[in-house]
Amino acid sequence: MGIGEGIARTLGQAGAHVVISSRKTEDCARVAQRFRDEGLSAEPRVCHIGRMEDIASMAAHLSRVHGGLDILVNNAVLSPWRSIEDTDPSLFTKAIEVNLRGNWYLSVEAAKLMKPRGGGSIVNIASVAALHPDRMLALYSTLKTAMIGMSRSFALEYGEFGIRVNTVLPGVIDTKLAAAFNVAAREQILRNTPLGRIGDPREIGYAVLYLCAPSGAFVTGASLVVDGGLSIASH
Amino acid sequence: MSLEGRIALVSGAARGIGRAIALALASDGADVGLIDIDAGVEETAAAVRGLNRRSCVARADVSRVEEIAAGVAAVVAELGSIDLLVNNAGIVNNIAPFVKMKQAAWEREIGVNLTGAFNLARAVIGPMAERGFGRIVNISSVAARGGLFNQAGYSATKAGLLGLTHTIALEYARFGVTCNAVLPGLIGTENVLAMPAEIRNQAVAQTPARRLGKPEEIARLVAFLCGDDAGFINGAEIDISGGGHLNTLVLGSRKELSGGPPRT
Repeated sequence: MGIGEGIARTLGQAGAHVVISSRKTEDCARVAQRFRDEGLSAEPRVCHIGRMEDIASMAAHLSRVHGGLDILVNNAVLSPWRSIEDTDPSLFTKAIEVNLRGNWYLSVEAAKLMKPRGGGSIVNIASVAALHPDRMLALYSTLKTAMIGMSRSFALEYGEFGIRVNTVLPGVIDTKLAAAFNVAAREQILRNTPLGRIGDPREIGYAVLYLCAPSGAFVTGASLVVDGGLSIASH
Repeated sequence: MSLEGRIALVSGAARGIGRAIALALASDGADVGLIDIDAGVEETAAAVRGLNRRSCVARADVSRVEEIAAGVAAVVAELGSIDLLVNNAGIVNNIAPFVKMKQAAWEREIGVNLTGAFNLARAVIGPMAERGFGRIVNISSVAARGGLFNQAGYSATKAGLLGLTHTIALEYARFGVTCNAVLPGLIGTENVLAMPAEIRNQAVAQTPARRLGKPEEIARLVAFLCGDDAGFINGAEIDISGGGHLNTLVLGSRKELSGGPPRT
């Protein structure tokens, strides 16, 4: 289970209807089916957020079928493992199109759908790499930092419409990506994380749920670090 | 209920945010010990009991280590070992231009807002670590980052709480104790409602959410941080300000900034 699925499940279990979105049709369908088997309300909807036409089509679908939107979680990301020297302009552009432009315009469309409803909640999933960059992940780290700026700017401009925009910064979470670390890297992470464990995708979901629920109604423009203390141990 | 079986201790629980926190923890199932110097804290205890939770009161000054030792011992004797500590007690007694600030007022503010949290955390953290579970939440302020005109003491103590939070988080994580900070913006407490309306209205107009926060909203965040769902959040600083922390100019500082050189 990735972080996106963990968040979607937490929101679904809290009673939301969840549009499962990803660039791969079969992934969306598989997760949405699993959710429905679990008794949750979900539908698949493919969307490659690097493509402006996909964003427009998602917005049209939400408007036509659901008449609006209450919650947007921007979790999709490209994370190329590359030194700075090896980061060529085409990769740079592609990463910006997904990690920055995609999230930005999906948020703009979401805000248009939220305004008539008197508000909504947008949660951007960044990373502790936004605060403490990782080697070989310069592009990823840079764009995660940009995501914080984006959240704060959107929070400032959309606050008067009741639209709240916050960032969650996960540390190392138990996903396919973390499973790919070798034993030495894993031990290093556990040593550096004060709580001595990696996080569960559902724990990111709980943070997102708090931010989206009525109890989080006064929280906007905030950065919520969910990392077991990793970032206070690394400075 | 997510805090069932937990025992909490809340300082500054007689009024405002502290009272709301005590009630939120109780509605989530915790028994709640209360610390305050104000006799009004008895009413909060009655309200906690009204939610069918146990409560008891220690009338103590958080800045005095021996009063806190005795107060915490009394609460533990009555309710049991503390699982959740909320350092909420705080004062603003010291509004003055920097050079006119009274030394005694500065020391009092440090004593309550910063040493108070230090005293309480030290009084409960040993048994938390022995049992392998604890949650400490420190109520800081957006003033920790932004600074406030004529409130050097308040601002400094609230920033000091962030350092305290990080260090406790680092030192005690391995024992299952987490420590986080909550940074409220302008909340509609008695103190804030007593501010000159002109200053308050200006601050609200500059807040993206266009309103004051409610004490209950701070309380829900604290309850979330105390619950099992927040187990991987440690050492975090969480702004809860309706976006007020995004602006640079609040609380009358615009007038001060355009008012010429500082008075001496």
